[in-house]
Amino acid sequence: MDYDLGSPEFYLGDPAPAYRALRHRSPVHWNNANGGSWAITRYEDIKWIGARPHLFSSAQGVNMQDPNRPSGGVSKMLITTDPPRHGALRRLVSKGFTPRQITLLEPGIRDIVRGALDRVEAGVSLEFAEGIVAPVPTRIIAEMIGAPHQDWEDFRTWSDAVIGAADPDIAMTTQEAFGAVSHYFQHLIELRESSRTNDLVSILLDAEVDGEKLADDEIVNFLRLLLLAGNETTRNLIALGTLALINHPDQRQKLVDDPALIPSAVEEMLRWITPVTHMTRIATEDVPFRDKLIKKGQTVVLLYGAANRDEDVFGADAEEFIVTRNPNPHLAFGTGEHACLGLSLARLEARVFFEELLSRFSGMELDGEVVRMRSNMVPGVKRMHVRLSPAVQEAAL
Amino acid sequence: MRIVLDRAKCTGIGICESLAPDVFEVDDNGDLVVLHAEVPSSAEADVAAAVEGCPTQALQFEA
Repeated sequence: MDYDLGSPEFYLGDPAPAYRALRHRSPVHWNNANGGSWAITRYEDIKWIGARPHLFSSAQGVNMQDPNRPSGGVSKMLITTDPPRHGALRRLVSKGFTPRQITLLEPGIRDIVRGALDRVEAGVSLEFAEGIVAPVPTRIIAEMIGAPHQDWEDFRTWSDAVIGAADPDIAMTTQEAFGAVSHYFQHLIELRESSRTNDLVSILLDAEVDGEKLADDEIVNFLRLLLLAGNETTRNLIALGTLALINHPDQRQKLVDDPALIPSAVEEMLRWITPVTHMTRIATEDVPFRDKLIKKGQTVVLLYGAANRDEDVFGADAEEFIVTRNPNPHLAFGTGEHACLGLSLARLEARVFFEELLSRFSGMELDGEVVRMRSNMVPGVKRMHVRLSPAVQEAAL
Repeated sequence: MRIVLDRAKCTGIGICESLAPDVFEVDDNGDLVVLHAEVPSSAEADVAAAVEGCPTQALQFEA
């Protein structure tokens, strides 16, 4: 059986049956589609590969090429840098993303979330993904980068265009969006050259790796990655997390009854949804792996969504959505030294969003179809109409 | 139980701190500080989760 892991359709249907079949029958599975690659689906195998960046390199790109999407080439970014430079680069910004630093952002995030939810009219069908959820992570990451408020909407348009380039609804091409983003960041760098603040642009301008400053294009790529990584991923975690609560009213009720369960529910959303479908690596030498031989230069596709439903780790109910699941050592943020830098931020944004949402509305229903984003990497929600009803009214019924 | 930190592997992401805040702290320089190398018994479960949850396998227990 050949699976086209580069095709957005693979992820937009329900990939769980394919994941299950692969885990059970062929955990290291060669596919001819898309130039040929190994699909890796078991939890322990993905952890093993993630822990060995010297054997499995990120330098030649980390995502499956989308057959409908022209190649933008591989940019020099943190995500495509191998050790030892990767650690040094990452350290430049990681201290801004530690749990303690991120906690300081909570009041600001809560204000942004409340502002977004203030636009919801109870009992009225409204577009939720684009209209309510999407602006939240964009504002937060744009503020961290240092972009003025009036530029936030532009940010989201570019970010959508880069991630959803295979989506016919989005008019901008990948190249145009990359160009617009790069141009904008270059402009921000020039502004900060003369007056530093405490934003990420300023931190990167002052940074040195091995005694050398970063080149402007390196800073631009760094910011571009943060923008994309901090935007679509969280948006889709929250939108698809809301959809999970709509489709599992019993689980939703648990959170309404006991909001202290929300952090655990966010972990389960991360596991169950796995907003980022995969990362790829290239073998730097021949690696015997289970009963197969991964040859030097071949691509492995780490299918995090498959690992996150591995029965050997999550038990017989691995394919069910259970907000109280504990322990929940999912790989939604990846594993190894490239694990998501923004994971504390993503967790905080989702927790605050669901705390605020569920304190206002416990009645939730879908109105019409969910329109998904065509992407093989972050196949999120483009549009989703929902009708929300107040917490109090629900309790009275 | 004692915790051993491999600084060469640690990326300072702070997953350990979020799981066991009484034992781990990433400081203002982005460096992980192990506040109690000797794990207090009250924090053993949290620290075990932190060791297991470290994405770079930088934390280990010493027998």
